[in-house]
Amino acid sequence: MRSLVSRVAAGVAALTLALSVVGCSAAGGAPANGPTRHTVVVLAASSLTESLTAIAKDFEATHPGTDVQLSFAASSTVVTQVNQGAPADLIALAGTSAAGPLDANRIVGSSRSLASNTLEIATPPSNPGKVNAITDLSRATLKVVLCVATAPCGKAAAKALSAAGVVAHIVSYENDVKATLAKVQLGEADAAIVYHSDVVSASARVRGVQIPASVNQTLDYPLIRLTDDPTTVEFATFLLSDQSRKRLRDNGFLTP
Amino acid sequence: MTGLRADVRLTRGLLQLGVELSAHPGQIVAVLGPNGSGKTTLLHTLAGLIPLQHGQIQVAGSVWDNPADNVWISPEQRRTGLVVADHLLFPHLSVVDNVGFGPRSRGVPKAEARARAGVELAAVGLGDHLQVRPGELSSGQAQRVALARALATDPALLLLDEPLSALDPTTRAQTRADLGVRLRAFSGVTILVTHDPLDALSLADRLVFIEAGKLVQEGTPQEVIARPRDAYVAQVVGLNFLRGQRAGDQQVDVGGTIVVAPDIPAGGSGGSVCVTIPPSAVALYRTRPDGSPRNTWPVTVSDIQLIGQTARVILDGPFILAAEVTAGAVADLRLGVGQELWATVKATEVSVYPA
Amino acid sequence: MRSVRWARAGLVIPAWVAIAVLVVPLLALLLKADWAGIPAHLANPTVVPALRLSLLTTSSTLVICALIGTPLAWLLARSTHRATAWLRALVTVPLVLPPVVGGVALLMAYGREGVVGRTLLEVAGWSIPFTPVAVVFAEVFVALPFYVLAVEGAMQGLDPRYDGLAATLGASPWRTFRTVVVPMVAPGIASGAALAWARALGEFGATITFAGNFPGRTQTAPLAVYVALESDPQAAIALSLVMLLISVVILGALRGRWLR
Repeated sequence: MRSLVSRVAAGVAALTLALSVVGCSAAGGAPANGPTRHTVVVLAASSLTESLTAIAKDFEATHPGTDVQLSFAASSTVVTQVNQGAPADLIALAGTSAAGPLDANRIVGSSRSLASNTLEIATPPSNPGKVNAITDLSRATLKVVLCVATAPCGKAAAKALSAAGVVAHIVSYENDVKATLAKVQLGEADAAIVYHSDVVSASARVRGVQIPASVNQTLDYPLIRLTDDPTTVEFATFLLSDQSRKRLRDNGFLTP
Repeated sequence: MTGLRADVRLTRGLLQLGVELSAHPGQIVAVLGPNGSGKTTLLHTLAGLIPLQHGQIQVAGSVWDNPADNVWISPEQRRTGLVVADHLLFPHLSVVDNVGFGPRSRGVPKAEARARAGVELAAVGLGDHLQVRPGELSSGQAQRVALARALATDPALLLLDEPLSALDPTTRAQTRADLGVRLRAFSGVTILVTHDPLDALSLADRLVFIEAGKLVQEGTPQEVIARPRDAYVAQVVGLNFLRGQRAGDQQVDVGGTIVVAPDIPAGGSGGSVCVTIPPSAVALYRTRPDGSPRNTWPVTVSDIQLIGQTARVILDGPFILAAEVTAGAVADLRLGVGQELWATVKATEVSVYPA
Repeated sequence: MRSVRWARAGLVIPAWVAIAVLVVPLLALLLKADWAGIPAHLANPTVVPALRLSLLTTSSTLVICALIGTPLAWLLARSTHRATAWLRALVTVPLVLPPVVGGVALLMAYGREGVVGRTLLEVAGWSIPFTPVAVVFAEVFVALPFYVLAVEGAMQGLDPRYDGLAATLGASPWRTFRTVVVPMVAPGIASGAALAWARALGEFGATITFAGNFPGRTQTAPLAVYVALESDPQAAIALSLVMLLISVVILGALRGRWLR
């Protein structure tokens, strides 16, 4: 009888301990507005991978002692993570509609437009599927890959296809635009609808096919701050500077 | 020639096996020897589980293994039956399906195999245990089923590897009796490997002794009991064993000590002879006795084993002797290890024969 | 005696922590679920196809694992060759490989430009990626090691003398394998099958990399959960609960009969 009681007590103690540990990490997330830190945590849409990485290096070079930590995923994933309490100072999303589900309580200040992007078709360099226009995508022998419908590039691609009246022969919906591009780079897919910036950064590894302006979609990339931390504010300003904008244009983005 | 004719030669690790063995159909040959002597290896070559390196195995007129002529019959094609000490019945099959396994494997239809199994099980007295699982059998019953299973394929050669050693003494005695009855009715050759002298002496028609891979003695039980040619064999039949040189009509020189015996025959090569003395013929005294025994030696007790009302006393003297005395004598003499005594043996109890 | 009680407490408390680590997330899943809305969420058109595809592919995976894994386990258990240790290590590799890496490896082998895939395409016109067959490939790749290692363990525990005995009774090696070995290691096979099936059911990284993600064709239940998590978290939870239920029922049934 006594051993049973002590065992139950030990069990309750352990469970409480475990639950409080769980609780602690869940409650956290919003970085404290305290003394100046020198790290900036940025979550961004995966299409910004190459450009933001270069810009972050520029910033760290001219602002010694700072550390910009970057993490890339589909915009929808970024929003989900932030809503679940992921620690982040700054986020950049593909398309203003991606910011819709964002928890308003976490936003500080107003969002600024970082850059904009259009869609483009990417094929392997040898173009095995003989894809030269958006209308070619409906051929039944083709393997076409799109982003998953919940990601901004997926939504935009669907809009462009319906505007062009094309039912594409899709074989897979990938998690984010980089994974979509990867299928083309590996030669597994004949064509994919990705961003113009992705085609630019992939340079010789893919071949781009233009989408007519009449059906193409433009996505605006909002830059949203989640803290007032001075280093974060500095980096946000740096992102909107001419130097950074040049970087973005070099990578295929359009800048305001 | 039907029956078994085997010339088994191979090297396996430290064991160099070189034994010639033959038997007529219906004969039961017991193979004895100390651990590691190669008895089980010999059995496995006959079963086909180990190939020969040299020699030949021929059973019922057909050659099963001849490395020189490149002849090899695999175990599943040989007509052998194997019984091991811990039965190894298939636990997932009923008794009747265990016994029918052999016939089924050789293509016999299920119903016929079951019928055959029923016959064999009846022959070992388990005809009413057909649907039982092996786990529910006693150890003695399991061994009998294992025997029935081995015989169900109508083998030419039955191989038994210490079939009774895993049984407790009471079960062993009963199963030995059942085994004897069944083996006598079996028309093929039986090779029985055993440690137990009682198995050999009560079941076998011939005894074969193997030590370190070589045959040291073979003969009928009577021949072996009367004239063991080797310390191990003598130990199996329970006799004291000495080797010596003929030193006169009635004297044998055993390592410097004279042993008196009646009518010593002409010795073997160089006059060498074997001497046996039954333990019961060794008498023990506190002081040196007078009287007729001319075999009198000073000894020291090195071990005493009590078995029921009898004590087996190991004595260290000019040679090692085992004496058998009553438990009462142990008390009277106040026998203890290290005690110094005199041992005497009547000359008439000493048996001498050419080595 | 007090020292004995404290010594036991030293073991009991960490044990309970371990239980908590495993149980708390599952309890949380049950607590946060919108139970009233579950039927509606499950009516989402991607749910049933995903579950059906998962059950179909994992069943096929199981059959394949049994057919090719059992003989391999037998080989590993009975072989005395020195190379056996290396072979066993090789079989373990998919266990420690990150699943996505496995997916990339499968692409390199069976993709359109792959070592084997290219020939397959040229000669037979077959392309494996983006098909349910690719899903099975990915699942077999990650699940087979579990099956083989579990079954090999069971077979090593089988007294090797049974083989010789069956041979003397007239059974060919194949017959011995079928009628003696397999029935005697049945509990080990059930164990291995349960592990392999569970691993295949949860497979994500290799599947999405090699087979892609297309509803009804290659979108297995885990993939559907991942996609649903961003657009409709409650649907993701509902689907997760269904998977949890199926797993618990099947593993529970197996545990009662065969798993020790």
